Amino acid sequence: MIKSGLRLFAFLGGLVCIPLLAHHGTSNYASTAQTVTLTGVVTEFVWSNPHVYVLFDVKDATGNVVHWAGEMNSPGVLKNAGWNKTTLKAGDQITATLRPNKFGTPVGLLSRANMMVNGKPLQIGPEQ
Amino acid sequence: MQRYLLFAAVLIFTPALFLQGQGQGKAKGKGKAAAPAGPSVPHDPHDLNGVWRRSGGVLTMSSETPPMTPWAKARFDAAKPVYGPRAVPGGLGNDPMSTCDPLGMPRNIFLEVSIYPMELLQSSNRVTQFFEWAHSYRTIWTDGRQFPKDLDPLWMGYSIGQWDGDTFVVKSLGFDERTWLDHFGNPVSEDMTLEERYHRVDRDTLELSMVINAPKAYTKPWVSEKKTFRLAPAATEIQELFCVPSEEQRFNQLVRDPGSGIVRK
Repeated sequence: MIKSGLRLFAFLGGLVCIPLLAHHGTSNYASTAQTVTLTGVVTEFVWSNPHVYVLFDVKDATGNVVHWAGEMNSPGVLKNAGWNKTTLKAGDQITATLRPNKFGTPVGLLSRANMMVNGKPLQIGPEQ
Repeated sequence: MQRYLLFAAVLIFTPALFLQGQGQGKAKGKGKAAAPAGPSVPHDPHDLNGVWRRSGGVLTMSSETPPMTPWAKARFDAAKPVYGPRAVPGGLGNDPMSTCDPLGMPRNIFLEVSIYPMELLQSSNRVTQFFEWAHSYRTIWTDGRQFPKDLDPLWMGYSIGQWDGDTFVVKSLGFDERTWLDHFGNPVSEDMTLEERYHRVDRDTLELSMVINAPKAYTKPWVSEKKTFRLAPAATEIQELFCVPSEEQRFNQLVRDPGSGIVRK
Protein backbone atom coordinates (compact mmCIF):
# COMPACT_ATOMS: atom_id res chain seq x y z
CA MET A 1 0.00 0.00 0.00
CA ILE A 2 2.78 2.35 0.96
CA LYS A 3 4.70 1.49 -2.19
CA SER A 4 1.70 2.05 -4.37
CA GLY A 5 1.09 5.36 -2.64
CA LEU A 6 4.66 6.42 -3.25
CA ARG A 7 4.40 5.39 -6.88
CA LEU A 8 1.25 7.47 -7.24
CA PHE A 9 2.95 10.42 -5.57
CA ALA A 10 6.00 10.08 -7.80
CA PHE A 11 3.83 9.77 -10.88
CA LEU A 12 1.73 12.80 -10.05
CA GLY A 13 4.73 14.79 -8.87
CA GLY A 14 6.55 14.04 -12.09
CA LEU A 15 3.64 15.34 -14.02
CA VAL A 16 3.33 18.59 -12.24
CA CYS A 17 6.53 19.72 -10.58
CA ILE A 18 8.45 20.88 -13.62
CA PRO A 19 5.58 22.48 -15.52
CA LEU A 20 4.60 24.51 -12.51
CA LEU A 21 7.87 26.34 -12.64
CA ALA A 22 7.04 27.62 -16.07
CA HIS A 23 4.01 29.40 -17.42
CA HIS A 24 3.42 26.73 -20.03
CA GLY A 25 3.22 22.99 -19.93
CA THR A 26 6.28 20.90 -20.65
CA SER A 27 4.76 17.44 -20.58
CA ASN A 28 5.79 16.90 -24.20
CA TYR A 29 9.44 16.80 -23.19
CA ALA A 30 11.39 13.82 -21.90
CA SER A 31 12.41 13.68 -18.27
CA THR A 32 15.54 15.30 -16.94
CA ALA A 33 17.10 11.84 -16.90
CA GLN A 34 16.80 11.54 -20.67
CA THR A 35 18.72 14.52 -21.93
CA VAL A 36 20.81 14.94 -25.04
CA THR A 37 23.85 17.14 -25.45
CA LEU A 38 24.19 18.77 -28.83
CA THR A 39 26.78 20.94 -30.52
CA GLY A 40 25.72 23.20 -33.33
CA VAL A 41 25.74 26.67 -34.83
CA VAL A 42 23.17 29.29 -33.84
CA THR A 43 21.08 30.53 -36.74
CA GLU A 44 18.82 32.76 -34.65
CA PHE A 45 18.40 33.66 -30.98
CA VAL A 46 14.76 34.69 -30.66
CA TRP A 47 14.23 37.06 -27.72
CA SER A 48 10.44 37.14 -27.75
CA ASN A 49 7.56 37.27 -25.29
CA PRO A 50 6.55 35.15 -23.60
CA HIS A 51 9.08 32.55 -24.80
CA VAL A 52 12.73 32.86 -25.73
CA TYR A 53 14.18 30.15 -27.94
CA VAL A 54 17.31 29.44 -29.91
CA LEU A 55 17.44 27.97 -33.39
CA PHE A 56 20.63 26.12 -34.22
CA ASP A 57 21.96 23.71 -36.82
CA VAL A 58 23.45 20.39 -35.81
CA LYS A 59 25.15 17.89 -38.09
CA ASP A 60 23.90 14.38 -37.54
CA ALA A 61 25.96 11.21 -37.78
CA THR A 62 25.74 11.17 -41.57
CA GLY A 63 26.70 14.80 -41.94
CA ASN A 64 23.22 16.07 -42.67
CA VAL A 65 22.29 19.38 -41.06
CA VAL A 66 19.33 19.18 -38.68
CA HIS A 67 17.56 22.40 -37.68
CA TRP A 68 17.04 22.26 -33.93
CA ALA A 69 14.95 24.55 -31.72
CA GLY A 70 15.71 24.93 -28.02
CA GLU A 71 12.91 26.33 -25.89
CA MET A 72 13.76 28.61 -22.98
CA ASN A 73 11.79 30.74 -20.52
CA SER A 74 10.55 34.32 -20.76
CA PRO A 75 12.83 37.30 -21.33
CA GLY A 76 12.21 38.45 -17.74
CA VAL A 77 13.37 35.19 -16.23
CA LEU A 78 16.42 35.13 -18.47
CA LYS A 79 17.16 38.76 -17.74
CA ASN A 80 17.21 38.00 -14.02
CA ALA A 81 19.66 35.21 -14.77
CA GLY A 82 21.98 37.66 -16.50
CA TRP A 83 20.99 37.01 -20.09
CA ASN A 84 20.07 39.54 -22.71
CA LYS A 85 19.07 39.42 -26.34
CA THR A 86 22.70 39.34 -27.50
CA THR A 87 23.91 36.58 -25.18
CA LEU A 88 23.70 34.25 -28.16
CA LYS A 89 24.22 35.41 -31.72
CA ALA A 90 23.88 33.88 -35.14
CA GLY A 91 27.11 32.11 -35.94
CA ASP A 92 27.95 31.16 -32.34
CA GLN A 93 28.91 27.55 -31.86
CA ILE A 94 27.08 26.19 -28.84
CA THR A 95 27.03 22.99 -26.86
CA ALA A 96 23.91 22.60 -24.80
CA THR A 97 21.88 20.00 -22.95
CA LEU A 98 18.24 19.57 -23.87
CA ARG A 99 15.28 17.49 -22.88
CA PRO A 100 14.14 16.29 -26.30
CA ASN A 101 10.45 15.98 -27.00
CA LYS A 102 8.71 12.63 -27.04
CA PHE A 103 7.82 12.74 -30.72
CA GLY A 104 11.28 12.59 -32.20
CA THR A 105 11.31 16.01 -33.79
CA PRO A 106 14.36 18.27 -33.33
CA VAL A 107 12.86 20.42 -30.58
CA GLY A 108 13.90 20.36 -26.94
CA LEU A 109 13.75 22.21 -23.66
CA LEU A 110 17.14 23.83 -23.34
CA SER A 111 19.03 23.99 -20.07
CA ARG A 112 21.02 27.07 -19.18
CA ALA A 113 23.38 25.00 -17.08
CA ASN A 114 26.81 24.06 -18.41
CA MET A 115 26.36 25.71 -21.79
CA MET A 116 29.43 26.18 -23.95
CA VAL A 117 29.60 29.07 -26.41
CA ASN A 118 32.42 29.20 -28.93
CA GLY A 119 34.37 26.72 -26.87
CA LYS A 120 34.07 28.54 -23.54
CA PRO A 121 31.67 27.99 -20.64
CA LEU A 122 28.85 30.53 -20.59
CA GLN A 123 29.57 32.45 -17.39
CA ILE A 124 26.83 34.94 -16.78
CA GLY A 125 24.26 35.74 -14.20
CA PRO A 126 23.70 34.66 -10.64
CA GLU A 127 22.50 31.21 -11.66
CA GLN A 128 25.58 30.33 -13.66
CA MET B 1 -10.38 10.42 -9.11
CA GLN B 2 -11.24 14.08 -9.28
CA ARG B 3 -9.62 14.44 -5.93
CA TYR B 4 -6.45 12.79 -7.14
CA LEU B 5 -6.37 14.99 -10.20
CA LEU B 6 -6.41 18.08 -8.11
CA PHE B 7 -4.06 16.60 -5.57
CA ALA B 8 -1.66 16.47 -8.47
CA ALA B 9 -1.81 20.21 -8.65
CA VAL B 10 -0.06 20.63 -5.33
CA LEU B 11 3.03 22.67 -5.91
CA ILE B 12 6.24 20.73 -5.53
CA PHE B 13 9.36 22.74 -6.03
CA THR B 14 12.00 20.61 -7.66
CA PRO B 15 15.35 22.23 -8.24
CA ALA B 16 15.81 20.42 -11.50
CA LEU B 17 18.35 20.82 -14.22
CA PHE B 18 15.74 22.57 -16.25
CA LEU B 19 14.61 24.89 -13.54
CA GLN B 20 13.22 27.73 -15.53
CA GLY B 21 14.03 30.37 -13.00
CA GLN B 22 12.12 32.04 -10.27
CA GLY B 23 11.32 35.60 -9.54
CA GLN B 24 10.32 37.57 -12.53
CA GLY B 25 9.96 40.64 -10.39
CA LYS B 26 13.46 41.99 -10.05
CA ALA B 27 14.83 43.59 -6.95
CA LYS B 28 17.24 46.42 -7.49
CA GLY B 29 19.55 48.08 -5.03
CA LYS B 30 21.67 45.11 -4.15
CA GLY B 31 23.92 45.71 -1.22
CA LYS B 32 21.43 47.75 0.75
CA ALA B 33 20.66 46.50 4.20
CA ALA B 34 17.60 44.28 4.17
CA ALA B 35 14.58 45.62 5.96
CA PRO B 36 13.74 43.78 9.14
CA ALA B 37 11.24 41.01 8.67
CA GLY B 38 8.88 39.00 10.75
CA PRO B 39 5.66 39.30 12.66
CA SER B 40 7.12 41.73 15.17
CA VAL B 41 7.64 44.48 12.58
CA PRO B 42 4.89 47.10 12.91
CA HIS B 43 2.54 47.34 9.95
CA ASP B 44 -0.76 48.90 8.98
CA PRO B 45 -3.18 46.06 8.23
CA HIS B 46 -5.12 48.38 5.92
CA ASP B 47 -2.02 49.03 3.82
CA LEU B 48 -1.90 46.44 1.04
CA ASN B 49 0.56 48.31 -1.18
CA GLY B 50 3.48 46.36 -2.49
CA VAL B 51 4.63 43.55 -4.69
CA TRP B 52 3.47 40.21 -3.40
CA ARG B 53 4.68 36.79 -4.34
CA ARG B 54 2.70 33.67 -3.57
CA SER B 55 4.49 30.64 -2.23
CA GLY B 56 3.21 27.14 -2.65
CA GLY B 57 -0.30 25.79 -2.56
CA VAL B 58 -2.53 24.31 -5.19
CA LEU B 59 -2.89 26.09 -8.52
CA THR B 60 -6.65 26.22 -8.23
CA MET B 61 -9.21 26.93 -5.54
CA SER B 62 -8.66 23.83 -3.46
CA SER B 63 -7.67 20.20 -3.69
CA GLU B 64 -11.22 19.05 -4.29
CA THR B 65 -13.51 20.33 -7.02
CA PRO B 66 -17.19 20.62 -6.13
CA PRO B 67 -19.58 18.52 -8.21
CA MET B 68 -20.11 19.90 -11.70
CA THR B 69 -23.34 20.36 -13.56
CA PRO B 70 -23.68 18.50 -16.88
CA TRP B 71 -23.00 21.81 -18.67
CA ALA B 72 -19.75 22.28 -16.77
CA LYS B 73 -18.72 18.64 -17.12
CA ALA B 74 -19.04 18.90 -20.90
CA ARG B 75 -16.83 21.98 -20.94
CA PHE B 76 -14.33 20.34 -18.62
CA ASP B 77 -14.16 17.29 -20.87
CA ALA B 78 -13.66 19.49 -23.94
CA ALA B 79 -10.78 21.35 -22.33
CA LYS B 80 -7.34 20.02 -23.21
CA PRO B 81 -4.97 21.48 -20.64
CA VAL B 82 -1.21 21.39 -20.96
CA TYR B 83 -0.73 21.19 -17.19
CA GLY B 84 -1.44 18.55 -14.61
CA PRO B 85 -2.57 14.96 -14.90
CA ARG B 86 -4.75 15.59 -17.98
CA ALA B 87 -1.91 17.41 -19.75
CA VAL B 88 -1.54 16.98 -23.47
CA PRO B 89 1.47 18.22 -25.47
CA GLY B 90 1.34 21.97 -25.86
CA GLY B 91 0.54 21.95 -29.56
CA LEU B 92 -2.42 19.63 -29.01
CA GLY B 93 -4.01 21.61 -26.20
CA ASN B 94 -6.66 24.31 -26.31
CA ASP B 95 -5.66 26.35 -23.29
CA PRO B 96 -6.64 29.97 -24.04
CA MET B 97 -3.27 30.96 -22.61
CA SER B 98 -1.51 29.37 -25.58
CA THR B 99 -2.92 32.04 -27.86
CA CYS B 100 -2.38 34.87 -25.39
CA ASP B 101 -6.07 35.17 -24.49
CA PRO B 102 -6.62 36.90 -21.15
CA LEU B 103 -6.48 34.56 -18.17
CA GLY B 104 -9.19 36.42 -16.28
CA MET B 105 -10.05 35.87 -12.66
CA PRO B 106 -9.39 33.97 -10.52
CA ARG B 107 -6.85 32.24 -12.77
CA ASN B 108 -4.45 35.17 -12.59
CA ILE B 109 -4.21 34.57 -8.86
CA PHE B 110 -3.35 30.93 -9.34
CA LEU B 111 -0.53 31.76 -11.74
CA GLU B 112 1.16 33.94 -9.19
CA VAL B 113 3.26 31.21 -7.68
CA SER B 114 6.76 32.47 -7.15
CA ILE B 115 7.35 33.01 -10.83
CA TYR B 116 4.95 35.84 -11.46
CA PRO B 117 4.27 38.34 -8.68
CA MET B 118 1.36 40.74 -8.35
CA GLU B 119 1.35 44.32 -7.17
CA LEU B 120 -1.37 46.06 -5.20
CA LEU B 121 -1.64 49.84 -5.43
CA GLN B 122 -4.16 51.65 -3.25
CA SER B 123 -5.65 54.94 -4.37
CA SER B 124 -8.35 57.04 -2.75
CA ASN B 125 -11.19 55.36 -4.62
CA ARG B 126 -9.79 52.06 -5.85
CA VAL B 127 -7.24 49.34 -5.45
CA THR B 128 -5.43 48.38 -8.62
CA GLN B 129 -4.06 44.88 -8.88
CA PHE B 130 -1.30 44.41 -11.41
CA PHE B 131 -0.36 40.99 -12.70
CA GLU B 132 3.03 40.45 -14.26
CA TRP B 133 1.73 37.79 -16.64
CA ALA B 134 0.49 39.48 -19.80
CA HIS B 135 1.10 42.88 -18.18
CA SER B 136 -2.53 42.96 -17.07
CA TYR B 137 -4.46 44.57 -14.25
CA ARG B 138 -7.87 44.83 -12.65
CA THR B 139 -9.58 47.62 -10.77
CA ILE B 140 -11.27 47.03 -7.42
CA TRP B 141 -13.51 49.99 -6.70
CA THR B 142 -13.64 51.21 -3.10
CA ASP B 143 -15.77 54.34 -3.54
CA GLY B 144 -19.00 52.79 -2.38
CA ARG B 145 -20.47 52.26 -5.82
CA GLN B 146 -22.92 49.51 -6.69
CA PHE B 147 -22.47 46.94 -9.44
CA PRO B 148 -23.60 48.22 -12.85
CA LYS B 149 -26.87 46.79 -14.10
CA ASP B 150 -26.86 44.67 -17.26
CA LEU B 151 -23.13 44.12 -16.96
CA ASP B 152 -21.54 42.69 -20.08
CA PRO B 153 -19.18 39.75 -19.54
CA LEU B 154 -15.67 40.89 -18.67
CA TRP B 155 -12.42 38.93 -18.70
CA MET B 156 -11.57 40.13 -15.19
CA GLY B 157 -15.12 40.64 -13.96
CA TYR B 158 -16.28 43.81 -12.21
CA SER B 159 -14.95 44.20 -8.69
CA ILE B 160 -15.96 46.18 -5.64
CA GLY B 161 -14.02 46.14 -2.38
CA GLN B 162 -14.63 47.21 1.19
CA TRP B 163 -13.04 46.68 4.58
CA ASP B 164 -14.52 44.28 7.08
CA GLY B 165 -12.39 45.05 10.12
CA ASP B 166 -8.84 44.32 8.98
CA THR B 167 -9.97 42.17 6.07
CA PHE B 168 -10.30 43.63 2.58
CA VAL B 169 -13.29 41.94 0.99
CA VAL B 170 -13.60 41.99 -2.80
CA LYS B 171 -16.76 40.90 -4.53
CA SER B 172 -16.72 40.37 -8.28
CA LEU B 173 -19.20 39.33 -10.92
CA GLY B 174 -19.79 39.68 -14.64
CA PHE B 175 -17.32 37.07 -15.80
CA ASP B 176 -16.66 35.86 -19.32
CA GLU B 177 -17.08 32.12 -19.55
CA ARG B 178 -14.52 31.83 -22.35
CA THR B 179 -11.87 31.84 -19.63
CA TRP B 180 -10.74 28.78 -17.74
CA LEU B 181 -10.91 28.94 -13.98
CA ASP B 182 -7.46 27.42 -13.65
CA HIS B 183 -4.69 25.65 -15.57
CA PHE B 184 -6.60 22.40 -15.43
CA GLY B 185 -9.58 23.40 -17.53
CA ASN B 186 -12.19 23.83 -14.83
CA PRO B 187 -14.92 26.02 -16.31
CA VAL B 188 -16.16 29.51 -15.52
CA SER B 189 -19.82 30.40 -15.92
CA GLU B 190 -21.31 33.82 -16.49
CA ASP B 191 -23.32 33.59 -13.29
CA MET B 192 -20.15 33.20 -11.22
CA THR B 193 -19.58 35.44 -8.25
CA LEU B 194 -16.18 35.56 -6.62
CA GLU B 195 -15.45 36.73 -3.10
CA GLU B 196 -11.85 37.35 -2.09
CA ARG B 197 -10.84 38.11 1.48
CA TYR B 198 -7.35 39.62 1.86
CA HIS B 199 -5.83 39.89 5.31
CA ARG B 200 -2.36 41.26 5.98
CA VAL B 201 -1.52 39.26 9.07
CA ASP B 202 1.91 40.81 9.50
CA ARG B 203 4.11 43.14 7.52
CA ASP B 204 5.40 40.45 5.23
CA THR B 205 2.41 38.13 4.94
CA LEU B 206 -0.83 38.56 3.07
CA GLU B 207 -3.43 35.81 3.28
CA LEU B 208 -6.24 35.30 0.82
CA SER B 209 -9.26 33.06 0.95
CA MET B 210 -11.85 32.87 -1.81
CA VAL B 211 -15.35 31.57 -2.40
CA ILE B 212 -16.90 30.97 -5.79
CA ASN B 213 -20.61 30.61 -6.34
CA ALA B 214 -21.46 29.50 -9.85
CA PRO B 215 -24.69 27.43 -9.89
CA LYS B 216 -24.54 27.02 -13.65
CA ALA B 217 -21.21 25.19 -13.29
CA TYR B 218 -20.88 23.86 -9.74
CA THR B 219 -23.62 22.46 -7.55
CA LYS B 220 -21.96 23.75 -4.38
CA PRO B 221 -19.94 26.84 -3.52
CA TRP B 222 -16.22 26.32 -4.08
CA VAL B 223 -14.29 27.45 -1.02
CA SER B 224 -10.58 27.92 -1.55
CA GLU B 225 -7.72 26.82 0.56
CA LYS B 226 -5.86 29.73 2.09
CA LYS B 227 -3.41 31.38 -0.29
CA THR B 228 -0.38 33.02 1.29
CA PHE B 229 1.64 35.82 -0.30
CA ARG B 230 4.97 37.20 0.88
CA LEU B 231 5.98 40.83 0.51
CA ALA B 232 8.78 41.30 -2.01
CA PRO B 233 11.58 43.81 -1.37
CA ALA B 234 10.44 47.40 -1.81
CA ALA B 235 12.39 47.96 -5.03
CA THR B 236 10.93 44.90 -6.75
CA GLU B 237 9.65 45.68 -10.22
CA ILE B 238 6.77 44.08 -12.02
CA GLN B 239 8.40 43.34 -15.34
CA GLU B 240 6.99 43.80 -18.80
CA LEU B 241 5.89 40.28 -19.54
CA PHE B 242 3.44 40.64 -22.36
CA CYS B 243 2.06 37.66 -24.16
CA VAL B 244 2.59 38.93 -27.69
CA PRO B 245 0.25 37.15 -30.11
CA SER B 246 2.51 37.47 -33.16
CA GLU B 247 5.54 36.23 -31.24
CA GLU B 248 3.54 33.42 -29.67
CA GLN B 249 2.29 32.43 -33.12
CA ARG B 250 5.86 32.12 -34.42
CA PHE B 251 6.85 30.22 -31.28
CA ASN B 252 3.95 27.85 -31.88
CA GLN B 253 5.07 27.28 -35.48
CA LEU B 254 8.76 26.79 -34.72
CA VAL B 255 8.73 25.19 -31.29
CA ARG B 256 5.43 24.26 -29.67
CA ASP B 257 3.79 22.48 -32.59
CA PRO B 258 6.79 20.48 -33.84
CA GLY B 259 7.68 19.74 -30.23
CA SER B 260 4.23 18.20 -29.92
CA GLY B 261 4.64 16.02 -32.97
CA ILE B 262 2.77 18.36 -35.29
CA VAL B 263 4.80 18.69 -38.46
CA ARG B 264 3.49 20.99 -41.17
CA LYS B 265 4.85 20.67 -44.67
